[in-house]
Amino acid sequence: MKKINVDEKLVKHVAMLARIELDEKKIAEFQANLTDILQHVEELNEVNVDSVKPMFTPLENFIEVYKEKLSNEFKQRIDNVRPSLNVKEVLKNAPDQQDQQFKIHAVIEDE
Amino acid sequence: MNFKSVHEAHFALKNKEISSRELLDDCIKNLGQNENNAYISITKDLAYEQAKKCDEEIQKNGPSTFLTGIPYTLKDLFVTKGIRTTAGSKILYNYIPPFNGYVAKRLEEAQGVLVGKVSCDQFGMGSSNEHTPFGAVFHPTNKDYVPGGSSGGSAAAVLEKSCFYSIGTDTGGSVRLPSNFCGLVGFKPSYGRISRFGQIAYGSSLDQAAPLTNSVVDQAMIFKYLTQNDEKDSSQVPLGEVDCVDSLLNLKKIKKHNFTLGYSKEFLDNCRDDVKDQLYEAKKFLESIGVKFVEVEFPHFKYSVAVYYIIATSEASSNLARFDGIHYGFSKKEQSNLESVYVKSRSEGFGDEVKRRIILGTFSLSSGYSDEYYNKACKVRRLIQQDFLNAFKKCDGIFSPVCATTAFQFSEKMTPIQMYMNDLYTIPVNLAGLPSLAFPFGKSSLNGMPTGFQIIGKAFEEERLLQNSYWIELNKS
Repeated sequence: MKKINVDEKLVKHVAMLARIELDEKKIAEFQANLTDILQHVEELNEVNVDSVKPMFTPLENFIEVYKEKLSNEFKQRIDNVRPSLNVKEVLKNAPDQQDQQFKIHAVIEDE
Repeated sequence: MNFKSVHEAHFALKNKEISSRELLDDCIKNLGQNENNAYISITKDLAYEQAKKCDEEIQKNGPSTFLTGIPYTLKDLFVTKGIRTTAGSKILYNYIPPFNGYVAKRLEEAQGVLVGKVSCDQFGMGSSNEHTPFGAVFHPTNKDYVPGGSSGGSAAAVLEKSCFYSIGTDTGGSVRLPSNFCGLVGFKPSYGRISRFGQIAYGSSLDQAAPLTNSVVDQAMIFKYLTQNDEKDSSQVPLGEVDCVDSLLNLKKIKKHNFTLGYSKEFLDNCRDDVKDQLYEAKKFLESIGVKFVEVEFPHFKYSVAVYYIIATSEASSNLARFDGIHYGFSKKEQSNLESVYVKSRSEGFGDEVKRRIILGTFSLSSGYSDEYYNKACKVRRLIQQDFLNAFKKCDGIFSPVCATTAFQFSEKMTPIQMYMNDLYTIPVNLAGLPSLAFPFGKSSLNGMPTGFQIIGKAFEEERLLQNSYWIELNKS
């Protein structure tokens, strides 16, 4: 983990990736926060993880322990067809809709 | 209210000493004008309707479940059909779900009486319940203090006695911390025990539904209804219903119940003096009732906060990508193009703490950094889990602080890092996926606020953890 210089450009770039817009004041504030946080995170440099595999879920170990008790369904759910949510009900929350579909701005524009 | 717990209320209903309606009347009276701001939505009419049905049934056949007719609340992260579910945020301020999530469905089937949806830090991100556009929640015993977060509304509602129990969510301590700050019992089951279907996601590999109650036996009574298998959450480990109420109550009949708890002296000594004093008092008390203590080591614990804030925010940045101003919730739809709808809706709909975490998570996962940050954190996470597994070779559970301090005052301003440090002792448990119960014990000599400890159990051995905790409760009173 190398030392990262959290500058305005980096904050703006990452915010853009997350589709979030920040004003100048917030950029400065987040720049300071991120610098602090990443500095704290640097302590992970002390840990030798050369032979360690990443663990993405804590269940990995436990599933092994409980293997006997678990049904096959846990490994792969049976793919049954069943009713889905009512489209009208779902669309009640939509900011904009037309013909039982979500309505959005044109994605491909005319030249 | 005459009844302190679900347990007492259940038997009073069973013996027809009181009706569900009367229990609810008391709760509504205690709720008052929502002075502690615990509630985002109050479902009074629904609650009276549910209470009426329960009373009719109790008259005929008695209560059919432990929870029949007993008023409860849900953190506003649990999706409820036809009842607004905000996640404590502006971006979902108007969202009325078309379906019930697992927890809502199960408690409805168990004939609970829903008083309302209670407040939380937006999307469960915070330790003080200040980070929500619905306004800060106040500590019911002293309005200058925070109730803790993120399930602060749950804690305040149980403490003010406007409900008998509340279901919160615990991603890095969000149930155990407010329970500790409010003197309640907070129980986070193993990761994978309770289905997360219909629980608005923050960190998917860490989140777990967790009840807040006034007693340990209440926890067992609730746990029974939340442990059915659910094929709608593939990360739930389908071990089936856990009904351990009788095995707890049977402890009343015995004189000796032995178990060993591991602890780290360093953890206890690093707490603020008032908290430390109470932890040593608690340890002394536990020893007096036959609990054995052994010292254990957690060489990787100090990295927990760093690991957590990379993993949780990475998962959050991905989970919260779904809020786009198109499908549901807050929308700035009057824009010239699609991209702007996303950007404007998200920028106005999310609060600062949520943005800060999304941005940190997006950074940790971004090209060029993900190996060094996200993957590295996941490797250290394995070492943290291994520390626990090693410790458990010597003991049945771990005795640990919940927080180094008590509830703090609203006026105590903290930087994000200082705020994150509140979760130092709760976070490792979520990283390792273990069950843990926060137990109230004593009061601070500094400010009179509640103190306590947590007992961390082995994965999927909640019954044992609840039994040990109940043994402590029995002997304490």
